Amino acid sequence: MDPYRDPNSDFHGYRTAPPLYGDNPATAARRRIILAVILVDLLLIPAGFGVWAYNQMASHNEAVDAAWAQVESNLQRRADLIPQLVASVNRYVRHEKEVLTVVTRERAQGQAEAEQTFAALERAQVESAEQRAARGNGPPANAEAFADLEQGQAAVWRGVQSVLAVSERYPELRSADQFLALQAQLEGSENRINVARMVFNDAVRDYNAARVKLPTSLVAQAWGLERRPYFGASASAHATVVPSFE
Amino acid sequence: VSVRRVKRLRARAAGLLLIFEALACSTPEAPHSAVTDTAGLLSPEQRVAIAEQHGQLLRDHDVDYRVDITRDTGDLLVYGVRRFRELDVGSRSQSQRGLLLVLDPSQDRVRVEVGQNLEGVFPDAFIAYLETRQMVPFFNVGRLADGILAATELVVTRARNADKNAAFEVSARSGAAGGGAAAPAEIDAGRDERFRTGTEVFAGATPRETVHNYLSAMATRNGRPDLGLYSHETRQVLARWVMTPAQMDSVSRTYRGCRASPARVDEAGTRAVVRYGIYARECAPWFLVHEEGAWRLDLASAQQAVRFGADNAWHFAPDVDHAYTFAFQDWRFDPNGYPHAP
Repeated sequence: MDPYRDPNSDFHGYRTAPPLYGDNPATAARRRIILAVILVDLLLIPAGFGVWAYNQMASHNEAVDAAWAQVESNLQRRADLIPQLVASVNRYVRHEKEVLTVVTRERAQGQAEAEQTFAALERAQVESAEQRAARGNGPPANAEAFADLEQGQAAVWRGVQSVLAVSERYPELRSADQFLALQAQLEGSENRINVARMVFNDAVRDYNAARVKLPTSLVAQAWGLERRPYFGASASAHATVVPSFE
Repeated sequence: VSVRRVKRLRARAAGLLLIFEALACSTPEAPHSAVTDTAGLLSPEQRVAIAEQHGQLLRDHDVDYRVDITRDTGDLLVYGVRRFRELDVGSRSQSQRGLLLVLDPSQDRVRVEVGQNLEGVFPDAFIAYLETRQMVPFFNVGRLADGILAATELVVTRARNADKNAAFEVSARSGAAGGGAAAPAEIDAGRDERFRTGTEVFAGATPRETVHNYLSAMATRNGRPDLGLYSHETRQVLARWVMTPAQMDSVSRTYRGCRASPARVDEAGTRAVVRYGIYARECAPWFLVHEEGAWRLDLASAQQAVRFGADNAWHFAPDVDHAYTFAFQDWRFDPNGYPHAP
């Protein structure tokens, strides 16, 4: 009689799964597989973490470079507008000179000052362009290079403000729609620089935080990723404080 | 059984609908949500009027335009960019197009923040023009809501042209990146007399000559309310009006492409109309009255009789009678007052 079907039988053993003891060859093979899986997992999990951490750092790094590209693009936008500003004010100053038959000493002095202002702005502009060309692509590598950049940009913006101050002497020019448009564009580009700088600083902060936090800090150490400097707002260039957006 | 079940489901659906409607009606911010006024400078009616006009802008051109009137904002640029994000400006637009007007009465400054994907249509120079040449002249005389509404008219015109010329940027760029412009709001600073001066312009010997003189005056932004080419009544009305440089520019620009028909004069020879082709929908007719031997512009009557639709097409206000109907007998007007060919 089949012990499985006999209700009086004492045999209630396995029907499909044998117990995990004894020297059953199938059991030994299974044990080896489990050990192999554990070993592979022990290797894969840290490797996976390493890849994840590396990708995290790479993303942060990429975000910093992308944010910097925006800063550069806005710096260029402002640089492109400056010659228009100078030309516009200069045209008006020269026009005034031609119209007036008798040039008073004060006015002549004012014109000389205006020309000095234009020249100073053009110089600052050229120096800033040379500085940027020498630096190459990407954000400045260290705090000193950032300080140089800030100084150069501050000089340019001071120059712009001086030219705008010259324009104050000519109420007709100030109230002209074309000048209003130019001024709005200049202020707009300055605002965009400020916003792009905030976004850049946020990206740098995230990168620097990831650099010191586990497990990304292990990758940062292994690859020798340096702390990245912030683009601070030079007090002489901008009156506004530049807080974080987050 | 199934009929009973359907009835039950219908009853439940109706109940749910009622609950939703009740919730929608009880939300106090719902009709005014385009306008935040923590400074309390606008009346509820003004908030509704602005919200309605901005709702129309959203429906017609998919631009989500919000207004935020708040004191002590600090740096207006930083506040504007942050507020743009907090209010999620652009989220009501399917294309994420957003504009935010921030008015800070404590600093007496106004700023319009432009979303990144709108910077091509509303460049900084246009925003500065909108603020200084349209909005601020109303603020000068304490009419804040009118200034905001008048500025929105310029935004609508610009958006309409952008739609017509497919100029809206199709991109996923949203949020504010510093685009826009700020200007002194000059609230209650008094009427800006710069735009109410100019050389005398006289009425012409013919109605068309007077209209020509008027358009020339507008081209030079001659906003003098007492010009000789205005009728007596018009001068009284203009003395109270705020005529902004942007409005004068708009008149001059609009009529540049309008070709006037010969003037139509009434039998008594006291009133005349200079009108344009029936399909020149943006070119509203001019009303003139013969006073002291010259044809003078009757803008006072035109102001009451003529309205402009959302597409800037002129029409007569349906419930307003005026003395110039004699010149339109050959046209048919629909119940809304829009002219049609007979």
